[in-house]
Amino acid sequence: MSSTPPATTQPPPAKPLPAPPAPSSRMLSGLGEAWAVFRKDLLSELRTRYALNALLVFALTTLLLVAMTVVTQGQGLTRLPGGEVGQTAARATLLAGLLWIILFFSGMSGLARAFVKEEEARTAPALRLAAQPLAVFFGKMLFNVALLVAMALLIVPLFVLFLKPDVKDGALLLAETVLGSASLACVTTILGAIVARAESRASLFAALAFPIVLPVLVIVVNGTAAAFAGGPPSEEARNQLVGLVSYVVMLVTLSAWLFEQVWRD
Amino acid sequence: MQLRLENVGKWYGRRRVFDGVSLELAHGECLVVTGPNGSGKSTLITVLAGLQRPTTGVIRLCEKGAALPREAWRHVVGWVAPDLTLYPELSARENLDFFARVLGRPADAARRDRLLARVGLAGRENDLVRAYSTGMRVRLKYAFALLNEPRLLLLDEPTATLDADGMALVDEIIAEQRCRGLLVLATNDPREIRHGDWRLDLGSGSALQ
Repeated sequence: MSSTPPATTQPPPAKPLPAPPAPSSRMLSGLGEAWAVFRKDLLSELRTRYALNALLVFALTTLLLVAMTVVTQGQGLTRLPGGEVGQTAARATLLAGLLWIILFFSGMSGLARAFVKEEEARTAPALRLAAQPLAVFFGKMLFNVALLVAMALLIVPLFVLFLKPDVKDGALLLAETVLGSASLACVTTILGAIVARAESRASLFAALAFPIVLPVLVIVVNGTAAAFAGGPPSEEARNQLVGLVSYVVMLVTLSAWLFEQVWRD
Repeated sequence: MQLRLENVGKWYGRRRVFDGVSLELAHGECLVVTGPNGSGKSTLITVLAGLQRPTTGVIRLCEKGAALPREAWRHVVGWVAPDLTLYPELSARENLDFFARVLGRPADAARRDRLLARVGLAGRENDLVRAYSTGMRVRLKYAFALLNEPRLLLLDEPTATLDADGMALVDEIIAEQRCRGLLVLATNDPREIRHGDWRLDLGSGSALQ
């Protein structure tokens, strides 16, 4: 370095660094680290109710508003072609669309904030310094999935209670609710990570979310309509669920691969 | 452990923050980075922590001549800075336990409590950080930085907002760090500058003295 001599005496030599862990042990440790991020976010959320309040207030208000104002009975909705009273395909589709509008916008109001909160509270640098990026990504994704699935499991029974859809395939409705909301949470996680570091967050989120989220919403709305209508479309919906899971697995794999670049710089 | 910087520079778009920094720091040495406000002291510290990539040049943390991979830095770097914030909605214990877990360290409550006592937070370990004074938060940052027994300790304005006891604590930590590894301080405080074996003045074109 320069010619200035050190001001202190020679320190003792450092202890050697521990050997790097084996790949299998690294993977286990990565899972443990992701779980730690999930637990931290959960504890943090239970204390601040940051996302929980936003999600619940939005979901319940929208649900009540829809229940009070949207006409879901009458000509073309509850009158079958033969003149009998029942649920038409149009009503099943309308109610499925309304349900996912409520779940989607409620989710967006809270989930996108998982990373924004870290940036705004300036806790992101400490997390960036200490945690490996994949642990952060999967920990936050797990938290978002847990939060949205829990909210969906609360909202769907209330929706059935207030709007009275004729549920023909309960198992399919449950599968659509759980897989659909988990899928939305997964795709929201990576979008949240991208926009957290951008200046114009809201507009960027909307622009990025539209093409990525739309396929998920189309599949779950069709599937939920099939669960309400029953009959042959329900079989098709089960196949579409497999497609949904494949799409989300592909998206999560790609996101995990890209996440380090997004998170680090 | 050695720290090597080769022609390191940082630019934000067309604005140059610093450029052409080359140096080598050996085990037990302390580098002090000085310069006026906006000269890039804090930016250099965050680049050394791996929190930002340098625009130009290379930074190597070497152990026995071999450069450590970037993903291993988190196990050997400690950082204290005004920009560092720990989770206000968690207690000091919960913060340290969380960071120990994400660092892949085994749970060690006794060590964590010793660390908190060491930085003067004994008796307040279970209080939420949001209830801490500014000085107490800085003390907690030191506990966080020492959690992984860092080989490279990066201190940005090390004693800002600390009382006399806090400053004495920082002096002790600096003396200890010389035995454990390397130290980089970003400061303009004459009391802190005296710790340095080398001085990098970013206000004078990155000159090393």
